[in-house]
Amino acid sequence: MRSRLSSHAFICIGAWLVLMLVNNAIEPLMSYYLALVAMYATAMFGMVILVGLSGQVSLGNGAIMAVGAYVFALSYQHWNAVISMVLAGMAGVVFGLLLGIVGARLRGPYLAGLTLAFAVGIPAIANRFPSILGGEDGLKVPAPNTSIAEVIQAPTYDESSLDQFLTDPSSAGVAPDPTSTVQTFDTSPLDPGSFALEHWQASVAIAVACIVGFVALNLVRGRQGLAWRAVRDDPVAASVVGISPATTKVTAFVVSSLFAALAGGVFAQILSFVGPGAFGLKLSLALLVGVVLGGRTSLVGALIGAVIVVWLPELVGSLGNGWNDQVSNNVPNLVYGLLVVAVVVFAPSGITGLVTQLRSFRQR
Amino acid sequence: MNQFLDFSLGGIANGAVIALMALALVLVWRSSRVVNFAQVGQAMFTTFISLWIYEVSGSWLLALLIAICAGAILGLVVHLLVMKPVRRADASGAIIATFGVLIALQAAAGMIWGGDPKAFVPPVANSGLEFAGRIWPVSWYDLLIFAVTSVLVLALSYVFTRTSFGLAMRASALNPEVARISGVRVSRMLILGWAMAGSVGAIAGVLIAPSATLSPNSFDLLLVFAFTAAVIGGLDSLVGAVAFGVGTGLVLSLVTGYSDASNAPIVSLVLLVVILLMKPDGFFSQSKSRVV
Repeated sequence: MRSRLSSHAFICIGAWLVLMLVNNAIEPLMSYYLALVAMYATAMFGMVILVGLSGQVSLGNGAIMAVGAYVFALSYQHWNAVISMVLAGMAGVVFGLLLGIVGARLRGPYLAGLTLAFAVGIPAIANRFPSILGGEDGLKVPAPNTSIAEVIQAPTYDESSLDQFLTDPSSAGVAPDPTSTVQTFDTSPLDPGSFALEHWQASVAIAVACIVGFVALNLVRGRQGLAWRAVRDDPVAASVVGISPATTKVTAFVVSSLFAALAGGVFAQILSFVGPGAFGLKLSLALLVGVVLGGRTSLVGALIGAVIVVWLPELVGSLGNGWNDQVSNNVPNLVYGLLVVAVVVFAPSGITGLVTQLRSFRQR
Repeated sequence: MNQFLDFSLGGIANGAVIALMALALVLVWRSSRVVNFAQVGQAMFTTFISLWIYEVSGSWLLALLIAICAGAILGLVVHLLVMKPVRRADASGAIIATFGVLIALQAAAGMIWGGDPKAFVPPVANSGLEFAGRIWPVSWYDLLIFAVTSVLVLALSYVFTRTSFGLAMRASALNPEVARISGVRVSRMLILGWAMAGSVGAIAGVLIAPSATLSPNSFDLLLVFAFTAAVIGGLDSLVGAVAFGVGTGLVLSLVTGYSDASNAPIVSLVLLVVILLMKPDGFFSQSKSRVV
C-alpha cells in the first residue's frame, strides 16, 4: 500500500517537473493551451470517476465548475489564491453532496436529465444576483502581478463566442489576449525564460492538475475505485459484500465535484474573468465528450480527452479552411458529435481501450 | 386576478408544445427504454427544413407535412444507425450517444443554415384576440396550436388503446420477450416508435418556432422543460406527459409573468428535484420494480 502511494507520488511529481520545464520553454500562447489542457484534465479526472467508474452519466460538472469559479472570484477579492482555491473546493464538495444525494437515487436517464437541468439552471442564477455575481458581465479576476494586470483588458463576452465555445475553448471569454502577449514580449522580447502571465496561469493549472491527479490515482487504484466499479456493475452484489451503493454513488459525486470546482477555480484564473456564458451546457458537454473519446474508465483517458478537447478544434479547423466561416466554425462540433457516436458504438472504452486491445492483440 | 388569468392562458400554448415534445420523449422511452436527448436536435433540424419549404412554397400545411415526414425519417435514421448498434449492456453509452447526435445535428444545422436566429412567420395572426371588450393573451395561432395538439393526442391515444397495432406496441414496450413469443415483431415496433416520436417532435418544433426564433441552439431550453414534464409524468405515460407538459407551461408562464424569464430554468430545476425526491418514478408510471 505504501509503495503504491509513493509510486503515485513519484508519477505525479515527475509529471509536474516535466510539465513545468516544458511550460518554461514554450511561448506564452502554447502555455495558454497547456493551462487549458491541465484545467480540462483536472475536471475530467472527476468525470472518469463519476461517469466511467461509478456509471452515473452527469452533465452537472460544468455547473459545478461555475460554482468553483464564482466562489474563487468572490473570495479572491478578499483573500489570496490558495485560500480561494480551498474555498472553491469546499463549495464543490457541498454542491456535489447536494447533487449526489438527489442524483444517487436516480437511474441513468433520470440522472442525465436532472443534471442537464442543473447545467442549464445554475449559470442562470448568476443573472439573479447581479449585485454580487455581476450578472451577464460576470466578475473580474485580477491578474496576480500588477505590471501584467495593467495590460490585461477586461474581456468582452458576447453570444457568438458562446456559440463557439465547444468549437474553440480559447474563444470563450478571452481569446489569448493578443495585447497581453505582445506587451510581455515588448518587455523581454522572445526570451524563453520570460515569465508571462500565461506561464503563471499554466503553472497554477499544472500544479492543481498534478495534485488532483495524485488524489485520483490513489482513489481509483485503491479500495474506493473497486467499490465504485462494484456498485456500477452490480449494486445488489456490492451491498451483499458490505459496500453501500448509496454512499458509494454519493462519494463519486462529491469527489468529482471537488475536482470540477478546483478546475473551475483554475478556469477563473485562466480567463481572468467569470461569467455565466463560459459555464453553459457546452462546457458540460465538452467534459463528457472528452472522457468518452479518451476512455471513460481511465485517468489516462481523461488526459487524452483534455488534449483532444483543446487541440481537436485547431486540428480539424484546417479542414474547413476552403469553406466560409459558417461551415468551418461548425466542423469541430460535427466531428465531436460523430466521434462520440462512433466511439460509443464501436469502441465503448475509447482511445485508451483501443490501445489496450491493440497491445493484447499483438502479444498473441 | 385578471393578470393571473392572462398569464395562465398565455402559458397554455407553450405548455401544449412542451407537452408534444414530452410526448416524443415518452414514445421513444416506451419503445426502447432510452431517453432521446437528441429529440430537440432532430426537431430543430426538421423545423429548419420546414422553414425552407415554407419560404419556397408559401404553404404552411405543406411545410408541416414535410416536417412530419422528415421527422419520421430522421428518427428512423438515428435509431438504426446509432441507437440500435449501441451495446444493450451499455446504458451510459446509450445516453452519451444521444448527446453525440445532438451535438452533431446542431453543428450540421449551423453549417447549412448558419447560427443567426431566423424568424418563422406564423401562418395565422399571432397577436392577442379581442373578445368581450378586452384583449386576451390568446391568438389565432395559439388556437391552431391547441387544435393540432388535441387532434394529435386524441389520435395517438386512440391508436394506442383501441387498435391491435397499439396493443402490439404497448406489449413490446412492457415486455419485449413475451411480446415476441406472442408474435409481435418487436424490432419493427421499435422502428415505428422512433419514427412516430420523430414526427411528433417535428410538429412540436414547427409549432414553437414562431413564438421564438429558430437557431441551432434555440430548442435547448425546450429539452429541459420537456424532460421535466415527461419525468414528472412518469416517462411511461402519454397522459402524464401531456398533462404535465401543459402544467409545466403554465407554471413557467406564471414564473415569467410575475418575475422574469431567466427564472424559468431555475424553477424547472427546482420542480424536477422536488418531484424526483418525492416520487423517483413520476406520477403516472406503471412499472414499479427496477432492481432484481
